[in-house]
Amino acid sequence: MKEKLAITGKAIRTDECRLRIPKESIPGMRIDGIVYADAELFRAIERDETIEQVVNVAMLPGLVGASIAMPDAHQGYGFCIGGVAASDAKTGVVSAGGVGFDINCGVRLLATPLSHDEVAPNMQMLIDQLFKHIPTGTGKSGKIRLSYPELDRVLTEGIEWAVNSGYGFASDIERVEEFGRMKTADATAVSDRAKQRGRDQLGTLGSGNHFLEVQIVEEVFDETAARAFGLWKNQVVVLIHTGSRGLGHQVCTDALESMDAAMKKYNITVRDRQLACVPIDSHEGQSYLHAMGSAANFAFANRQCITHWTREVFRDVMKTGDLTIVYDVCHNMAKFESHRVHGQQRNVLVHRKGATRAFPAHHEVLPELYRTTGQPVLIPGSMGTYSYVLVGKERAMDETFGSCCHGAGRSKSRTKAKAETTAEKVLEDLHRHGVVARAQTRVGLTEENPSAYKNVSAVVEVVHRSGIAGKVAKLKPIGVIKG
Amino acid sequence: MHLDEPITYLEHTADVGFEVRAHEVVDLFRLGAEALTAVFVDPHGDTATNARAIEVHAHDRESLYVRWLNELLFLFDTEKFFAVTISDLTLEQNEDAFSIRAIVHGTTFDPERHEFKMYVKAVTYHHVEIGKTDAHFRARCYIDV
Repeated sequence: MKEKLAITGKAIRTDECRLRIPKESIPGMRIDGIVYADAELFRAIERDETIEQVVNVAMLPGLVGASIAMPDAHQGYGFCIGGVAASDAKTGVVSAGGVGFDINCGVRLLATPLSHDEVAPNMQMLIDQLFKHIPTGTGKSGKIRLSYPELDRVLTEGIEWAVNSGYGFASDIERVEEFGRMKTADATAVSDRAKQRGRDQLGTLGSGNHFLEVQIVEEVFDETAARAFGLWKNQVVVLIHTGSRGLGHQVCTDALESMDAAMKKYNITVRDRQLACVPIDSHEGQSYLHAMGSAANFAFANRQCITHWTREVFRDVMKTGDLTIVYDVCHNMAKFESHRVHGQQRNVLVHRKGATRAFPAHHEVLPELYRTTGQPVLIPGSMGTYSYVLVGKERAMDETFGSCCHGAGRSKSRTKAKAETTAEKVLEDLHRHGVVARAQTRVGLTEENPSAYKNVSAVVEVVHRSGIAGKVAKLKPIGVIKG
Repeated sequence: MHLDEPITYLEHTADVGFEVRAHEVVDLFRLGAEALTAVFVDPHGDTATNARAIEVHAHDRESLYVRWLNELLFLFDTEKFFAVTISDLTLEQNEDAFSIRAIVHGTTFDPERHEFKMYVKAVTYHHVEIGKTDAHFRARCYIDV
């Protein structure tokens, strides 16, 4: 392992929400580092390797703008979780670690026509039925069995495969980032091993910090945006957090092996091998981007299948399956976008690892229904705590490549979190807070208990005060299922 | 002869790491497999019922270690097969070509007999290291859960 960098004291606070690590302050940095955090969140960020990881990323070749960490940032592997970095589309690099193993891990929010009062008497049955009908895929396969040719269609078509196969409606498509289909996908770039891992996992939630939550809109901050998003106070909504499962994980694993072996021929060295990267315009780079797009499509289809079963359960228990997608956002992805960098419009590859796109009003890629308001940004809290809906703002385009945070961010290791509580205590605590919970595994509760995470409200407050996204609504959980 | 406490789990904000120590390099791979398997499954004392022959190649020792462990994850994710013991473990090096061959004795996950603990996405290259102290060899890696 390379020597630790001398980074203490190098971050300079520029305002209450931002700190800058000047590129001149640490040898090897090619661009500045920017951290979005207030004083308390920064103290948490400083405790682990997050800042070093921001600096390591700033040393990669061909990056533009700044290496960015969001207020929920914490130590990852290579890139920090909550990190954003952009490469010049022609001369820059792509890093599989800058996307992460769970390609297109993301969040989808569904709006129901129901109020809390209507749902409350049925919560236990609703959660029991959701737990029964939505596979977690932990230790066993899901409900959908795909042939390999059919899997290739999923990888190519994403949400369109799911809708055409009866999992939802054509009207769902525009309410998903990228309209649920990465056009860069090429199923032939996905290895047989990745397909073997993913074939029986379509339509599964996964475990760890993945979940499906039933929530209520507890508070509305921006009435205009909330109305545009179809949200109202006391409304019951559903938040789904999952990604590309074993298929995506293997795509990333394959790419890291390939990039790690290839860096030498491109004269690239990195401080952390998990930052393995290659020129975008290389065989390995292009192959990864095609495979990544395919894995992203698997995740879009995955969340669509889970949406379909959620609608079915609501229809059975609550006599209405009329759940509308508010939006579906990715938070582990690399995408070609056009951004202003130091006053010039440039085509860049934006890596978002545990960060969410947050495009403002009038952005051309947004669906018509959100052109006037800006994009919904979905920020899940940890289990049992608040989640938030934000809206993208123009300032994000100026500062963060149109990006925002993705959640609460961990503050405690899994071993510490597990040591401090038991599954029974977590369930009791959730129950005391009015949350009905079902989990497949005990660690699904103990390691994910709320004390292991930062205060999501504090994270969102920094985002809001910094102007990169605006608060729209606060969501309170009333039920959760986990792997 | 084994070292005392050959496996140590490491603190990491988001994920899990482990360091293994042994008198011989080849045993690092055996212990790594044991440490990894213990993260995702508790066999509750169950014994091996069948075996897989595994062969993995890489361009250096650290990436061989990562690939070896990822191969075990692949077996679990695709066949629900997990390792109980390992035999016939051999390491070979020929300039920049490293390889490992082994017979992995294990069994198929059965929720009635075994406990699924946690889903492991992958073994990462983050801080991966194989090194030597005066007393023993050690290997470290972090896994994404």
